[in-house]
Amino acid sequence: MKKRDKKDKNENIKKANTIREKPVKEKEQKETSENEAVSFKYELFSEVIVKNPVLVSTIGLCPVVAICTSLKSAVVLSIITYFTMIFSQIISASVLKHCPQWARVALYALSGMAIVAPSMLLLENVLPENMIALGIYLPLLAVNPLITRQCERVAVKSTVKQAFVNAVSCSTGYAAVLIITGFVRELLGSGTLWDYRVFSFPTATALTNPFGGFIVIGFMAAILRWYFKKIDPEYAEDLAVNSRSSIKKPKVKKSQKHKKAHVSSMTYEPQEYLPHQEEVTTQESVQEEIPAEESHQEDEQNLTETFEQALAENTTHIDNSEEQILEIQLEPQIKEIVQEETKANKKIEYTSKELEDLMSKSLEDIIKDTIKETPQEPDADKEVPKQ
Amino acid sequence: MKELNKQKVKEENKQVRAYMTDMLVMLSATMIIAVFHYGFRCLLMVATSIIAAVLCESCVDLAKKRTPQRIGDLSAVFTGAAIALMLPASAPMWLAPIGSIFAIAVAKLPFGNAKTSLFVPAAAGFAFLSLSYRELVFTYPSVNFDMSGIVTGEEGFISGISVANMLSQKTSIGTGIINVIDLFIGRVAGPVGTSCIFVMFGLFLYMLIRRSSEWITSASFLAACSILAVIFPRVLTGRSISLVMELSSGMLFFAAIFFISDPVTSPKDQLSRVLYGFAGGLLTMIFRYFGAFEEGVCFVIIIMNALSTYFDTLGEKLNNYINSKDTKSKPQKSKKNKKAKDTPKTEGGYIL
Repeated sequence: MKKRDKKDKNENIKKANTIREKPVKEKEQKETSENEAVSFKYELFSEVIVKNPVLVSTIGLCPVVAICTSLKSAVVLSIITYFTMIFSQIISASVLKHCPQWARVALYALSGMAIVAPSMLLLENVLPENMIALGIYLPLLAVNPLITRQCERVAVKSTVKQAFVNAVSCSTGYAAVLIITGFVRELLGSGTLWDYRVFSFPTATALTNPFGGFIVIGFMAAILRWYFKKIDPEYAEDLAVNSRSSIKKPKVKKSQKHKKAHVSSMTYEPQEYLPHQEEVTTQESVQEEIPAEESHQEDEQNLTETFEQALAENTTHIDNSEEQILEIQLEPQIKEIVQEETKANKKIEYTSKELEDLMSKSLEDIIKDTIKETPQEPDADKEVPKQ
Repeated sequence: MKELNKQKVKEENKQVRAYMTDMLVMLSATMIIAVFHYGFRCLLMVATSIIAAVLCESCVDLAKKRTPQRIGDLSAVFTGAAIALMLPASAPMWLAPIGSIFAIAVAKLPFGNAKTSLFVPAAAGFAFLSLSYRELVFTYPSVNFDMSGIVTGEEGFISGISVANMLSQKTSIGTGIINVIDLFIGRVAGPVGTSCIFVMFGLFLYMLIRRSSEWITSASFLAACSILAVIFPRVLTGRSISLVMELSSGMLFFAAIFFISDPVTSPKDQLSRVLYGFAGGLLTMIFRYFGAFEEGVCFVIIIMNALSTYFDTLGEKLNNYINSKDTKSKPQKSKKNKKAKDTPKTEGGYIL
């Protein structure tokens, strides 16, 4: 089972790497028509999942949190965002390239308004009830920061075709989040779907408040992070570092790397120290485990060096099997020493830090003993034939 | 190393369990009063909410495959019991379990375990209930009714007016419940386990003895509440009666004892704890004067939990300022006084 998991992980990492290397490849593959379809797929994947506007970069939260309380309003919102995004990105790619930057940002909002204003008039005639529910937030879609960001970053620097592709993929990412939040909040908040009653059990009407939207988005973002961790752990770590710059991440990495290198030769199981198998994403694990590791890091480095020297003096060939045997032989000795000390001090319970200290001290003693013994053994061997 | 990790978790569980058993002993006192006033229906409510909370936690334990399971620290039991005791006796049976499930699934588990949670889960659960089922949560039954035959149904209760509701409508005269002894015993319409002030004072004294480092937050919280109650009374009969009524109404005392003094979510320094409690008290009274609900303590506790790190930094700055002033004014004695005047920093976490 483990081998299979590793294989899957490797394949997933390769996939993710291809996405990262994509912008370099894109310039080469512009001309061929077959590759354009592939690039559109990659664009969709990267915009919808890898850099989702709401769940990863948290842009355009206002309509999602405030008015996306039902499926109907979610669908209306997503349709309007599709049209505004495509229209404003195409205009910015075709016309606004030579405009100065201070004028551009205002013109994006104007181009968005060109779609939103007629759609508001249309909605007033077609769905008057829904129009009241959407309220002030519908005209606010024209000044959605998502549109200005996407225009300024992508559309102005690229051709019309690329801008169109980007607009479609980015707005699908936005619409997916809108529809999922609308679905969840309508089902749990009011017990209906598209105004049809699903169940009559008392529902949590608090989810139709803005804070319910925040909670749903938070859980979705957490699920997405979990998915990143499975596909590409490095990307997930980068995200974690960028979002939490106050926690000193590089220190953690260093300590863990050192640990990995040395501990693999030590007696302990190396899998305990692998960062991806532990739960590193939550703040608690990072904050709790670092100080304990850092305090014993230097001691263990010295210990491992002396230990390896002793091994080198003692035996010329070190196979993995021999190492394992040594490991097995060492552990009961430590336990015995701990038990003796407990008897001497009449302490039955130990805290974790005390135990770690005991472990390190006892290891030192053992290694000193081994170093003392090592020169004696060959002498004894030599002495025997002399006699 | 696996064994070491296991032992770490076991020790944490032990610490949390020691703290939580203390809290549960305190809660059981309020539970006895609840049964005395409202019958055995309260115990059923408490039991259902505890079962829901423990099931929710154990499901996550099984899903995460945590080997020493975290159910053993009894924190889920505490949240379930606390949520059920804040509800009215006439509440339907499904109300408390929903609150406890929300408390554990949304307010506790995303942030880790009981030792690392950012918010008090019970307060979050009650806030959710009061937002979504406002009519059920804030309609209290009167205490004087025939208790025979009320175990599961909600038919036998007579609707009454709680003290907090009277205060919010400014109609303290004419209702006929301005007997102070009734207020102290808790023979007034209100939440199940929080209306008896006599018991609450006893619990406060118990806290003074048992937890020397945490009682100060709840004391400063109550002081701020009482100061505002005296200065701006909502009762026409007098300032002293307004103080008694404000402190005895709703779940203010309950929250002061069980929620705001929680050592994990409150700041670590002693001075900043005082400031934290005082700000919380001011906010609760402001919520009572201008808020939409008659009782907004749980919202205040969630807000204060979010701000607790800022209070930590504020306390540090104040301590540094005080120390620097001392050194300037009395340069000779500073060396001797420095060790004495450094405020004792208590370790975070549930340590008795």
